[in-house]
Amino acid sequence: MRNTLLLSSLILFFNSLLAQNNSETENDSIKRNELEEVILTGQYNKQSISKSVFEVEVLTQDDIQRLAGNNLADVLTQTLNMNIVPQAGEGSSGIEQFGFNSEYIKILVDNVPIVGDEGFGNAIDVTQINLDDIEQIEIIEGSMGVQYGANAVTGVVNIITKKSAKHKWQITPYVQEETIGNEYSWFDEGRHIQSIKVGHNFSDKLYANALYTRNDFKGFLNNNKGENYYNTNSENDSLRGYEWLPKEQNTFKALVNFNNKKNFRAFYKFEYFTERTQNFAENVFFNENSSTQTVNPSANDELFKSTRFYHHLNATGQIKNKIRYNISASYQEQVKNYELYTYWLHSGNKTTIDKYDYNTRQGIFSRGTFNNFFNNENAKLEVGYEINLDEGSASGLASQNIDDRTKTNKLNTYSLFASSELKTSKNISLRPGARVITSSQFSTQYALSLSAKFKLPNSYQLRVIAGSSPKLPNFEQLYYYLVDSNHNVQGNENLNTENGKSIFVHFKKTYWGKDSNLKYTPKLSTWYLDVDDKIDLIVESTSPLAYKYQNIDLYRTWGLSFRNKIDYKNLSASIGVSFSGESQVLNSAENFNDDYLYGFQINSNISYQLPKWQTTFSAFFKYNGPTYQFVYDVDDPSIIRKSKLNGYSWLNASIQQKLANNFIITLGARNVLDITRVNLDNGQAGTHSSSSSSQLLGYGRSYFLKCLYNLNF
Amino acid sequence: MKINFPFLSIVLLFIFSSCSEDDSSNTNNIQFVAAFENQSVSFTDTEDEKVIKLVFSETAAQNGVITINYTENNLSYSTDFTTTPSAENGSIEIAYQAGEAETSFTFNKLTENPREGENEKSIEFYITDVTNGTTQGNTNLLVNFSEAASLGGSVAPTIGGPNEGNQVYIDLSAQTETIVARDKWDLAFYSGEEFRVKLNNSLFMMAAELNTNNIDEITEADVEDLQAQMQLLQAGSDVYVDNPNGTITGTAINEISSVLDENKVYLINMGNEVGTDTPETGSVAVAGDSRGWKKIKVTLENDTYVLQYANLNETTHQQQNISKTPDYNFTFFSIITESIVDVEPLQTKWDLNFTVFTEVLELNATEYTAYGFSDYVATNVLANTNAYQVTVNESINYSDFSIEDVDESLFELDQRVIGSNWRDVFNHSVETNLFYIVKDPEGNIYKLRFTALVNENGVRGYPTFEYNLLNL
Repeated sequence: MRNTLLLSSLILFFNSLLAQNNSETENDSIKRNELEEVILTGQYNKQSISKSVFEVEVLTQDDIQRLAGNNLADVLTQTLNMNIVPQAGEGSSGIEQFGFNSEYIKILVDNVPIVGDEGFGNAIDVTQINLDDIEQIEIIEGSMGVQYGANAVTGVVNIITKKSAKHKWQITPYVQEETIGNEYSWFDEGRHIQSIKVGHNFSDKLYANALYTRNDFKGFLNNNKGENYYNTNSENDSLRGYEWLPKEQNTFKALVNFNNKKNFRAFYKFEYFTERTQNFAENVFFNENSSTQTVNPSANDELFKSTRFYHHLNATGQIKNKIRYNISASYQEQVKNYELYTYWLHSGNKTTIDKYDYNTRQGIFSRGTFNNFFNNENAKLEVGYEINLDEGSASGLASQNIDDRTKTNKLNTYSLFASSELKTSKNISLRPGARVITSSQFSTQYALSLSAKFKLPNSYQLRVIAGSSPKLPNFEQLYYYLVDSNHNVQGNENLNTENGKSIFVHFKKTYWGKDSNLKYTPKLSTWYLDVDDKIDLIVESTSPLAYKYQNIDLYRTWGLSFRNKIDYKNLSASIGVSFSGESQVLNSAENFNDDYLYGFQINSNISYQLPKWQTTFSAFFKYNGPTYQFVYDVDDPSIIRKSKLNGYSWLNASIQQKLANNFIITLGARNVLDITRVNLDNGQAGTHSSSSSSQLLGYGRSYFLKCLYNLNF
Repeated sequence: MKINFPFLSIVLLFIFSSCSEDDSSNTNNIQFVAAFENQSVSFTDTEDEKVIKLVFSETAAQNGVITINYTENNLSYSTDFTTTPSAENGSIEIAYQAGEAETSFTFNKLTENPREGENEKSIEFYITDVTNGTTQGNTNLLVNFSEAASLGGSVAPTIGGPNEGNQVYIDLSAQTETIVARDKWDLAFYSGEEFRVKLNNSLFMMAAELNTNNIDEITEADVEDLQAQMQLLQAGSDVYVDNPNGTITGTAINEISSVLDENKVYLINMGNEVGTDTPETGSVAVAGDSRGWKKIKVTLENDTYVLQYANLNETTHQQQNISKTPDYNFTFFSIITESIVDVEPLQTKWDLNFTVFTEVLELNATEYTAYGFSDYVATNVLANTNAYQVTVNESINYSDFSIEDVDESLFELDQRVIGSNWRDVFNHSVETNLFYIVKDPEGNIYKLRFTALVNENGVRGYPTFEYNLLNL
């Protein structure tokens, strides 16, 4: 399969060489303003970042290149107020933003929520989002329920893909070789990426591209000893398998874009993605034969196969030079298949024990927005609809009865929303908005927003952005079931949504140096965000002891950040500091402490171009300060202690060198400070319980080399 | 446009780096081993044929032959015994096929066991050659023409997989197992000196004394509060179960009095059915639906138990006389089938009982609760089976442990000595640093260690252990 794909890409490539078509048509592309970034997220129409009412942070394609980012997890580690939390034991990574897990942040591709193993737009494994066709990544902090519906609680990450090219033919193959920590070999260790992308302008109106990428992550052994290891003293020592699971991903994407250059544009985007993750049980069954005094070890190993299909059809245009419309329709599905098998370590034989679809997700999505009804710059109105038909299943919900382990759920939501942008005076624009969400399962939900932008004297800008978004319960909360003679823990099908709301205030100004070589933009922000009716497990009955999920808690966070961007000649740099506190009102618990626990983060990046040599040096740094949590004492739950996850830093550095015009080599290192495990002190000092453990966050300092060739003609 | 060197090199790199080695060839080079399944086989007077099993370390990769020689002790081939296949020039050749994990030969006994005072009669087989392999472990097998205690062996009690539907009684010296469905009985009436009634704790049954002698006047309304208390994982529910240490004086039901009016009615929580669900690999599903509630009253009539029983809301009751059964610990009765049933082997013919079990645990600093355990191993304390647990350290390990190492003062008469200590549920394995010394009712002292909690596919309810006679 792999070889066939490779072969066909090569054939495609050589055919194109034979064609030798030199007509270099200059074609339409997003004309990126060199000084001002253009954004899409939360906007009525594509517009410059300074005109936006929302504060949007942009990761450009250059940033991604300099980080040698292949997937979303590779690049978001540098973002303020956000952490990438790896589940090394599952091979996945989720985004944590403002201390909330990945169920609270919405991931979009071209404004459309992307499907994942466990959610449609949320709970996304960010290692599964390939970045090889990306224009830029836009990040908004705060609840965006009016614009993006449910589960856009802490923020939105919107991935904007490229839809045009300058050249008639654009062929871009690249290979990327990476070490995983200090583990690397040509075949069985390290990370190996191969990719080829072909773009073609059929005419000045029709553009198409296709790409194939293979990302072969061989896993991180660390102290572990791989698949065939067992302790010969017949005592399990948890050293079998990998610390970070190996996985292989294949991504195939295609795009057709039509633009009549007047008042109509449409694109169709397709993606087929597969992932194969293997989990080798850390312990084996020795299957001792007392008679022969031999062992014949076997293990319960697991194979996860995920498959995603993504279709997105979008049309934008203008009717009679007046009403602008933007309509998207998307069908997506993702299936995660699970296989449990017995692996015999001596013979290498495998016997399947259990094989079924662990998670399935099918989504039909459509959103349409209509604006510019009045042709009035001072009073804009946008109305829109959103249809979200989400059907999924999840397993692992009843360990004691495999007949009940998988539950399916269908959630259809229909929304109408409207917002308006009003310029009440020359310097003040307001944007009120509202959304009504009706669904097949929950009571009617409302999301509201009100944003205001003030132009102050001396070109200071002040933005106040308030918004809300409901959060839907997950499968476990709805359907978990563990009831036997000793336990009673049950999901609750009558749960309602959690409710998130936020208010952000941003104050900024751009300073220009005298000769326009220097540009400096400081930005001061403060925010408050809370999630009410948060779902947690409560003791429903003490006699007999029974637990059930309820809408009960309140989580809240506030903070301050100060971000600075400087551009001077060939140097560009940024530095940001963020300080935030989190508090949890745990009505679900008998006793709790709702004091705010504070933490801070710093991020910085610097890049310098040597134009003469066509070399770019860059470094990305992020410091995550210590984070605290209240935990219950293991021996006496009436005592609440403070646990502390030590601070740690991510430092990435790279050198990018252009050779022979079209050949780009990037050499760099990720995680220069060699972070693997970070100490977690659970505050139990002085008791017999162990007082510290550690959290696995990285796989140590890794080096990468990326060779990319741009063949344009 | 021309193709330049960097471009070619990237294409080559592309092709090369996308290759990967698919076959993970195994580095563990393992020798094929064959051995006798057990160390000894004993013939009673009435037995005249036994199949002798030979087992392999793993499935045979190719056809082969095992050669066995023997040493006779007051016995001779053809006269006292023969084998199938037969011996040629003092050696037996047993062929096996590729794909087999064991083979066997048949031992035919032709003459009688020796009488009291006559010389011992035995024969020792030993493996001399294995095609493309070797022998280790049980390289020898002793065949006794007498009921000698087993030298040891390995046992896989048939407790029934993840539902653990059986109670399995093991007699170490005879190397036998007796399998009983654990919902076959409900109440056990003691056959010893006292008059005591035991609950089937493998079903999590409980009993609470009520303040009346009249079984027919009790209804559900009278006992609702009590029903909420009589649950697993409920503070104070420990008082409704038999003392888990197994002493007969610790039963939840008071000693049956010969004074008729001193015997009260008891509310019985019948516990749970044997589970029928298939759990995830590695988990158990031992508890099924609730078996509901009954009321009972036990009195005596001429040293015979008289059991009255009824459903909770009934105003009439059933009655059954139950006699003690000499040489057995108990007489067993099923309220469900309303009959006396066979459960345990003879009192001295079992040492260990593999069963689901109701234990008592600390719930918090001041309160206790009844709690259900799977994979439990109870010792036969009523027949004086003693045991103690040994923790492996630098100077003590299972294989070197001999009769000199046995410390008589450590023996305990408590059926929980093995209990659930031997298993490591989290890792689906056994506690490899523990083993046990068991003294059976006949005075045989065995060392015993567990070798598995799950089968080779990781499925629960397939324990195995091995044991060896110490006082040879």
